[in-house]
Amino acid sequence: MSRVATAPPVLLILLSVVSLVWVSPAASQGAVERLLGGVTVEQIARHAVIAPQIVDYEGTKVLSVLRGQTMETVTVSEAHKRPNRMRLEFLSPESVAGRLVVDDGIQTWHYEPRLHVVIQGPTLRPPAEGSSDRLLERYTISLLNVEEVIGRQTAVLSLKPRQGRGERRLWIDRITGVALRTEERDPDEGLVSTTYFTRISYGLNFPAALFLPRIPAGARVLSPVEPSGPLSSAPQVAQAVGFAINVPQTLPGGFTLVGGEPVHGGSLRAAYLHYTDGARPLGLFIAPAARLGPPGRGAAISTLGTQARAMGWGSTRMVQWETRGMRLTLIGPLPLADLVQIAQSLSAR
Amino acid sequence: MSTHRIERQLSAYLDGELAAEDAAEVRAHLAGCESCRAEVESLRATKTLVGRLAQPSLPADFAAGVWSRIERPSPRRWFWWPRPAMAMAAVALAVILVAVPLVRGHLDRLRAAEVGPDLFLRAYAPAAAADPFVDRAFITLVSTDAGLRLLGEEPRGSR
Repeated sequence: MSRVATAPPVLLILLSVVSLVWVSPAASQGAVERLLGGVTVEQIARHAVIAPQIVDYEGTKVLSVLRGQTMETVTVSEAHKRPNRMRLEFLSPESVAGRLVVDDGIQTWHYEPRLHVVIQGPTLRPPAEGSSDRLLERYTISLLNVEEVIGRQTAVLSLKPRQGRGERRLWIDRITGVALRTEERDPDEGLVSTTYFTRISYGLNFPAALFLPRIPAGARVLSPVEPSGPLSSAPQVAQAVGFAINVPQTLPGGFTLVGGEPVHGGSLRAAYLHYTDGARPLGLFIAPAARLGPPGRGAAISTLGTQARAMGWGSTRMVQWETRGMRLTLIGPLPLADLVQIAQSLSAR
Repeated sequence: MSTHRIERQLSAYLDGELAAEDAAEVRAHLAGCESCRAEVESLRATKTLVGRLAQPSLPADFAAGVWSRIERPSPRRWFWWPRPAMAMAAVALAVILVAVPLVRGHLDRLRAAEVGPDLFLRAYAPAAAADPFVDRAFITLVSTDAGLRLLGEEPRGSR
């Protein structure tokens, strides 16, 4: 066969491949949505928000989280009982194996076997039903694909905050609404955390006793953070902590002050101001710098001064710096550059 | 009554300083005791001799001098301790009383700076969990690690 005779079929094949690969985003989105059988992206997102209220499940989950420069992987057995109870048994690595966390919807009980201690803390329950409308308005949600995860059909959603950067991807179980896989993407650092189930079982009707704290005999029960009630305004928080605080009502990125509370732990006493952009919580902590030694952990940030440090746990970032005799700390699920920008605006006031 | 006790009272008897009963007792004893009578006579002769001596006169300003010394404040002593060892112990105690709060305050500040991020992270965790799209297991992992650090434990590392 001559080379000339083979040319037309090769061209046809190439054209066919290009036509299959190149499709407009709108056409692609439409094709994917057709796979959902008329269900909208918003309905899937809403289903994911209310899933904890309507389904029990138990499964094995793998968490990979970027801490500093290293990605750490932890395996955990997770059980959820509607609406807000949770039980986590950590399986690996060895440094966390045996750790047990029970959240009864009121408090969290963390048993650490190598120390034989139980650490009490506040509940980490999901929000109550009904808060999804305002939340969904704050995100640009798009459907990326329909994929199978551990044998179950999922809708792959991309959530991007309307104000701000970053992206969260969720693989939502089409039947139950549970996120079987999640990814957090930082615009500067790329993938910073993933979680995914390696197996899951639904509708187990767990006994309530499984989600009640059982203190092992002889274990010490500790509460390292003294609980305090929420306050509605910055002056109230200032009065509670005993020193003046001067914070703005709004911060760059559309964050608004919604309340605060004093935070106590050992000799440290700080004011904790709650901000939100409607979707993402942002915490601002203020303490007199004279009551604190130099910060010992984290990476230096020269743009915020010699005492400034940054730390990260997946998409959750922390920035600490000093201004006018106070040490300020910002925590939130924001890219580091965005947190630094907010910090600079606070220093410039 | 023993003879020894009577002998001790003879001088007071001669001076008329005994109570009536005791004086009568001494008189009764002297009536029957020759050695005590001799002792009384000897004492009486001695007192007579002493009584004849001329009394020296005091200077006119003697009383005023005594009173002025009584009323004058004694010069202040800046440092007085009966023993040097006690002085050193007192100095050491004072240093400890001053230094311990200072050192403890410094350690408290260092500790507060060290655990501050964990305290804040733990306080922030409930707000993070209120995001319905966040993974609760991830938030729990971060929060429990912070709780361990607050207790002075390293959640990862050499173990």
